[in-house]
Amino acid sequence: MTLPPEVLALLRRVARALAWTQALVWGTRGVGAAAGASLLLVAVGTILPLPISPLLVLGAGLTAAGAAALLRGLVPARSLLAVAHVADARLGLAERLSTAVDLAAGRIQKTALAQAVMADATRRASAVVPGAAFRIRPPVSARWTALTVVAALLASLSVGGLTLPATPARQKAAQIRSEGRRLEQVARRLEQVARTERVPEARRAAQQVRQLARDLQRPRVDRVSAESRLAALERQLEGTRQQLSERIGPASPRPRLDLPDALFRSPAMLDQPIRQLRELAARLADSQGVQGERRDLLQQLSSLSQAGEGQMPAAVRGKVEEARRQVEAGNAAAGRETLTQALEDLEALRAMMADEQALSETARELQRSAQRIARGAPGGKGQEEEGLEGDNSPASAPGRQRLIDREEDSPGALPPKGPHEGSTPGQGRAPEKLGAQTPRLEASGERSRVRGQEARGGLQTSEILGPGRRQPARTRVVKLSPAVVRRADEHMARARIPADLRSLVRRYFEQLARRP
Amino acid sequence: MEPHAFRQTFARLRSEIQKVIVGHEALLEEVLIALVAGGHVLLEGVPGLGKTLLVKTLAATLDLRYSRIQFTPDLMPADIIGTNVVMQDETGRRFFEFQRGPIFSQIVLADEINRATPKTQSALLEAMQEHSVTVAGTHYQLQEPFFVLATQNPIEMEGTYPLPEAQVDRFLFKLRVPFPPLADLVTIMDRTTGPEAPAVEVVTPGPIVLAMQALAREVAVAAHVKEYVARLIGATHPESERAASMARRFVRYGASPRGAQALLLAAKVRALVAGRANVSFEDLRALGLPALRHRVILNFEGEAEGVDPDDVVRNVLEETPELAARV
Repeated sequence: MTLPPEVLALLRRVARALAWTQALVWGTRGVGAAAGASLLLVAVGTILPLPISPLLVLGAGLTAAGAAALLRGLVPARSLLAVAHVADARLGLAERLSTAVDLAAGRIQKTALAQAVMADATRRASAVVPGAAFRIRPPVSARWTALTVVAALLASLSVGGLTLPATPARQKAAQIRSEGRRLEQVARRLEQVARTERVPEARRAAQQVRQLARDLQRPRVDRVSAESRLAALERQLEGTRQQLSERIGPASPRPRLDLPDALFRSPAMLDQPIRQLRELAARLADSQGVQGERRDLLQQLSSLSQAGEGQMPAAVRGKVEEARRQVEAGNAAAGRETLTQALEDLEALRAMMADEQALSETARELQRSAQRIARGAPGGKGQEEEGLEGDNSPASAPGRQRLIDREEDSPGALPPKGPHEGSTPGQGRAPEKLGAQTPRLEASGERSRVRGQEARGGLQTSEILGPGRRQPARTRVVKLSPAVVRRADEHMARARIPADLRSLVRRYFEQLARRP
Repeated sequence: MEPHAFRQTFARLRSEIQKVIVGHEALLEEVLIALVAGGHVLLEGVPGLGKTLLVKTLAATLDLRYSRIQFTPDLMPADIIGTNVVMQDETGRRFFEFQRGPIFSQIVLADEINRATPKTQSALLEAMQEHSVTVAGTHYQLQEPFFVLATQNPIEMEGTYPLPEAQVDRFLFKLRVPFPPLADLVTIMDRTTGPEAPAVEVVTPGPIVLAMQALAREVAVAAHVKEYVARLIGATHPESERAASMARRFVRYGASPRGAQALLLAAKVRALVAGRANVSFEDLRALGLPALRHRVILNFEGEAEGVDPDDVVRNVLEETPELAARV
């Protein structure tokens, strides 16, 4: 015995209505739970620094509840018998449908009146209108749920970031502000680097870092938003750096060996070739010099063009070689022109490398700030200095500029503490020389900004040219005995090191020797 | 018989009886349901409410043999069942011959049944349950349909013998005959004090009643409806996990399985009367009181506090959910 189509159609219609009604109940409950959890997080967030945003919880809860409700509504999972029970009760069908379903399914014995049961159920199913009894409407609690959601939203927006005194949340807020101050120094230094090196990406990054630093120093910045903003800016800088890296890639000097690119991406490596090219270009400009020292020039050009790949890119070397041929052919003007082009290429490459390096270091600083905020170690200032001291990254390598100058613009502040300083008297160590930066040139700088009104008005930069100031060297003089130097040279000579990489290897070991 | 014919016959029976009986529509319907269900009815009410008249009118509308037994304390079982008497034929030979008692009818009115002794009351046991009588080792089958309607007076307790539980359990329904409302009382006076007494016609012969009884048993009952009946019966038992609160407190013994049978069978008849071929929860709820009120035995506390078994059954109906699990 099969269920009549009219009964089946009615049951399916009722099942759909029940499923959507249930979906609304699920959705309302889920949204209510999410809103409640969000409110709770807002309240707890005034005491504890939470790693999750109440708004995020609310959003995720709303999404999950919506998805669950949609799934429930689209998949009516009720059995026909259960649907028949409900339909009988709500439509006043006096168990006609459920008895018919039972008969059709063979759950009860078929009697002589079974056909009459089916006919009766069919007649009633055709006549009944389930619309009123099964109208899909939100549950009664929906109103309260909506109020809870509004309350959660208002609380997240108005109370979010508020912290109670003497609570871990307040300490975390202080730490975030401390990181903001630190990042402001990073931004300032990055601007200096951008001005010095004339690198556009670093300049843009400096503005963004400065803005972020100021935002972090605002009151009521919570941990989650601070971390997310740091991560977002870090990702953006990393993306820009990768673009720069791809542009630098083919043009950068490459070693013959399969060594990491980072070793060959230092802009300082190009300083000497640039100086040599400038000098040669200047000598070529002097036609007398060309006539008088032609052989010497050709020899220098030749040695420069044959420099290792780790010192100069192949394209530049090619131009130097072309300049050498032009000079050899007696066309000094063309040689100077070609040499100038090679110089410009090399300088452009150096600028890109400096840009990439600045972005890389900035991204690392942002990452470090995010880690400190996430770790939640107390003592923003001391920790800040500890992080700088313990930094073994390439950013702290000699010859590179630090992005953070200590107390550069805050003369009233106390100098930072070194490791163990203050806790164990006599065991602290001075990190390195502190103090204002000394002028490097014999020229007076032009102040383009007024102290205390920083970042107001347009920023003017001008290049100051002048001879280097004579002053005592800061590098400690270390006397090496000639015997030690000779032995080192002998070892270097014995080792199977390619000639063009010897200077690199020597620098590497010298760096190692300088490390504490 | 078709359900339609069933409904028509039932309606004609009711309307014919209502020519004589004023009001008592529910009572009348329940008596007819019990008749079609093949059960017996215990009518309880004060004298003068028309209990006997109801039964007599019912017998008149049905083409069935009718007898009335007036129960008195000196009534003996043989007065009901019959006895062997010594007879003598033309040749002078004497022999025993069974003289059938009034039980050998199809509609038996046991008037004031609680006035007879328990011994006499129990003479009805076999007849009511088995529809047969055994006398001196001889088994006599009663003619179908066999229908006992007993009456008892709840007020006059002096010199009465309350029916034992086993006897009460044999009745499908215990019906309480209420005092008629004022309007019905006026109509009763009009009908009974005039020059002509209202007369009824025979509506249904015995075979039709049997056919109606057979059709009632064909009514379908959904599984969850049967479960509801079982849970209702279970809820009258104080030791049951699902016992209703009043049953747990005031009941000594709950309804027997015979109560479940009675309820379901009567519900089937009610469903047919309502034009359905299936039993609904409403049928069960409507017939819960007449089918269960006499099967609930109160404990000492219940008796002491004067608890009405009707209240217990109502409490059971209220506290027992129709569906065991939430749908």
